[in-house]
Amino acid sequence: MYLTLLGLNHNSAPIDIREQFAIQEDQYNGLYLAILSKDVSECCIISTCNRVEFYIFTDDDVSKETFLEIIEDAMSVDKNKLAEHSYHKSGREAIEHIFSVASGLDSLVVGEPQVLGQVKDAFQRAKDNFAISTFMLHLQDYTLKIAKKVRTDTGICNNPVSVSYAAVELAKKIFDNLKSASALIIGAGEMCELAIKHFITSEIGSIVITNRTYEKAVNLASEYNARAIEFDKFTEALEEVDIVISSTGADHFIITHDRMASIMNTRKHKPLFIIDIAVPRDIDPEIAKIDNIYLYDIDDLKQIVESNKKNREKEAKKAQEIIDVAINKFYKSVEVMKINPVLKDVKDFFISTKDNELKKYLEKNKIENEDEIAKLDTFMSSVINKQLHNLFTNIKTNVDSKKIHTLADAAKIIFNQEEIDNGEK
Amino acid sequence: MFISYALMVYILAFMNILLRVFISSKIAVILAVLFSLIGLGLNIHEIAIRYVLIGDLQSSTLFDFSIFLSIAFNLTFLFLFYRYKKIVIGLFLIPFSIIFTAVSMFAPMADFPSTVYSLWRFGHLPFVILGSTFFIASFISSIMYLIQDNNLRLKRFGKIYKIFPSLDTLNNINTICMRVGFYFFTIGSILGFLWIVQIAEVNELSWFKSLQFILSSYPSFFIIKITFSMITCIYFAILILIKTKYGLPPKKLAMFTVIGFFSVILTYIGVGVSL
Repeated sequence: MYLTLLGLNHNSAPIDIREQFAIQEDQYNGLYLAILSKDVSECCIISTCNRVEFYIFTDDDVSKETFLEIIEDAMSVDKNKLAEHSYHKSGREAIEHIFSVASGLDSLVVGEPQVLGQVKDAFQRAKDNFAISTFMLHLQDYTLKIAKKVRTDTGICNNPVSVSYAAVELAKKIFDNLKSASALIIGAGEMCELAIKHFITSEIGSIVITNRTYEKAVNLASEYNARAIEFDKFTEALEEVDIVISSTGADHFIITHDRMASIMNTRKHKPLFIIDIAVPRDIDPEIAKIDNIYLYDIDDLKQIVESNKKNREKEAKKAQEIIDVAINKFYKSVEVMKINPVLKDVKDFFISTKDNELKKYLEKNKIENEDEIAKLDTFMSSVINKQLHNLFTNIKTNVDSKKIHTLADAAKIIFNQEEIDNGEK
Repeated sequence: MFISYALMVYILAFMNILLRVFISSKIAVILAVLFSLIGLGLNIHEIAIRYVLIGDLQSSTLFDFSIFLSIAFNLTFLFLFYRYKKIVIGLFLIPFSIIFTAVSMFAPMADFPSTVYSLWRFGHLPFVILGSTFFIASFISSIMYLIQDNNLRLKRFGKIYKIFPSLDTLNNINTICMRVGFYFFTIGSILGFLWIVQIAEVNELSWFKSLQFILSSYPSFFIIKITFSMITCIYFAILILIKTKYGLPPKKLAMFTVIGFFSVILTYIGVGVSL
């Protein structure tokens, strides 16, 4: 069995090309049928906003040209365009690739968490379309297991690498439980919306939104189950909330030092986390000097993100080591899977031989006592099981051995001749 | 024999806390708590053996005092871990258990001049010691709060920033340690007073004379310790009162805890040395 991959991603193709090859939900069924009709045993398609990849198991090795033809027929796309922007990998390289994808090593943002869910969904979709069985299911189990191991054993996902997510993580270092915290969002732009999404994911207690154009605040609030207030009332909200995110287009400070100092007195100096992502800044930087105020601007957050990206790259090296070990284990497990049916046949052969010989022996010696027959059967079965267990263990342990060149080499390993020789001595 | 085992398991608990904090090993959390519990069991076992052998809890020897301190720091860690699930606090509490268990290995078991056998005395020491360890935990969490506050303010996101809990959690630990410490210390003091009253009744003295009698039978460092423990307790009582009545901001509470505790300890050491 051969595993082959053909795909394109953010490194190999620009967005306009990726858009052309993006697969819609209603296309999968037809695609799987078309691919499986081309001497392909099993197939899995992974399609996300940054990649489209086809993994196939076949009896023979599949060249890039053949794979391109399969996809051209199945998707009715321009083969030459796909050839120009795609990559083709087989065997070890293909396995390494899927492990890297699921672990987030091949993502645009290294270590991003969503890709594991997308890979899981892709395997499930392939299963629903009856496109995968023994080998691909085994690959799925291994891939998900390795991806989880990479995420738990390395710090690849630990540090946020987007500005809005970094803001939420910082908030968690001030307020342990965001469920009991409240946030005031000043502005209704894209950055504010992203921050709202991250806060909602972190189950923040409540969100208040304000904007110069009140309707925009109301629209955004209704979309995210938040409360909108008029812009001239936001200083009153400052007395209550725990987190403030500001991103307006104002050309002057909307919160000044003196105003904030008086608000902090009203708040009884309850900690306040302020993120100013506006350029020019909305908040007077002098207010950072007031006790219990933690003020961050866009440059501070970008600095955190850059430092976190470097940390993730360091962790990616550790992740690669885990993947290298996993590939060897996966290969061995596939070889064991391949040999299992043969071992089962061998065992069946031994059992049928035992049954025949036992039958002859019982007839020859006219043994009819059931207890005696059962004892003989148990004895012979136990001898066979013991012998076969040792042989099968030797075979499975050395299934990928590079030392076997002749049948004699194989026999030495299977019957563990070194041990036998040592025993005789 | 059991003390050396206790010392070993406390060291193992500390090593597992280090593993958890610095290389995020998940199993290390379970092992750290498990070793702490075993250490606790071994320390309690040591006290039980002494009770069985002597028929009395000789709670005024340096040996017993060290064992009780070791137990108290361990219990404080276990309580805070159970409540806040932040193993990092153990990094600063378990070393005390290690030190006091080690001290108990070399400490004399001979009692100070004997006093009247009293149940109040047995209750007095554990409560006062537990109260003191909670005050120390409050002091530690306050220092952690100020460091973390500084990290957030100066935008320093190094290892310490990552391993320390949120400001909210540190403030909660500080507050609860202060309160629990105060309750234990107050109960311990009341039990101590009842003990004095009992001695007074036995010796047909006034309770004040009885207190003088007890204090005169102890070494001077012990009396200084008692005095400064009382001052610490009163200081924390004032802090709790201000926080409850006027709502002291978390940073100010942490600062007052550190300044107050530090000055009390420094004065204690100063007086101790001068004597």
